[in-house]
Amino acid sequence: MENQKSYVNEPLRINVKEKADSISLEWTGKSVDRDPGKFITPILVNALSRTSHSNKRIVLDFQKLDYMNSSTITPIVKILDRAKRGSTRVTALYDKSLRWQDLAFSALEIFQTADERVEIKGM
Amino acid sequence: MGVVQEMERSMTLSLKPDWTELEKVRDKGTEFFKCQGLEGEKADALVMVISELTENSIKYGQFTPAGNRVVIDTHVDGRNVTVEVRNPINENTFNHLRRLDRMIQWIRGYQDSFEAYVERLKEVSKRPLIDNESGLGLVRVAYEAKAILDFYVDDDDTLNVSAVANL
Repeated sequence: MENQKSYVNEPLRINVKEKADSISLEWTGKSVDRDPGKFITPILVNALSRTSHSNKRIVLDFQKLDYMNSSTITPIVKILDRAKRGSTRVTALYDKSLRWQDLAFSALEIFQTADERVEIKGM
Repeated sequence: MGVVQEMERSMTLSLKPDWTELEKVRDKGTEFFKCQGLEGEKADALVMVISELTENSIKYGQFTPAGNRVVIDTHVDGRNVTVEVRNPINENTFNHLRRLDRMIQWIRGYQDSFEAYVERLKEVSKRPLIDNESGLGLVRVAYEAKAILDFYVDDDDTLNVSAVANL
């Protein structure tokens, strides 16, 4: 059964879908807040804690994100770093046909693990 | 927000140091670059430059009733786009200026701005979750727009931060 919840901080929306094997966070709109971490970090931490006792993969899907400021990158990389050092499985998906997404997200490959537990994928 | 000047190859925007002005700034930037025949990837990167520099200006400027504007000059010539963002400062801005100087010198120390960006990502990722300092804006400008950054302070205590990107 799928469990779904939306978090909105206009003009950014994060749709969280929990399935049997994954928790997917789909980002849409723009992330332009002065301190986006206040909105984003609790959502990411919640996803991390929900997967800590299961084998669910967190899927961060940025493909429909139109724009993000640099302050948005900070909470994302903090979570990726913690996942890399821990045991959580995380996949970040981006649209590589969008130049800005390709530049911004391909750089996050530094957080990938050799066993693909943490992976950054351009679609 | 006021458009002070929008000549053929230049645009000057003057705005209140208010976060809600940023969306209008991005829209104006997109419109201006479109008029210059710049759309798509290049225009997106240049609008990001304007946006990041303006965010910093709003965050760190010292605004008073007499000096309460952020001024953005954007100029396109044959080969380059120059974005200059100005804001008032005072003695309380000293630490910011020191950080700004250090950051720009540090970025310039890298032949490839991608390497600087990656190093910064590693550093930022290790900070506490509740720390809201980003510190990625300038290095993102250098990396994604391949822009050369600089700054100076005018005699009238105005900070001018510039980014020059190749077309």
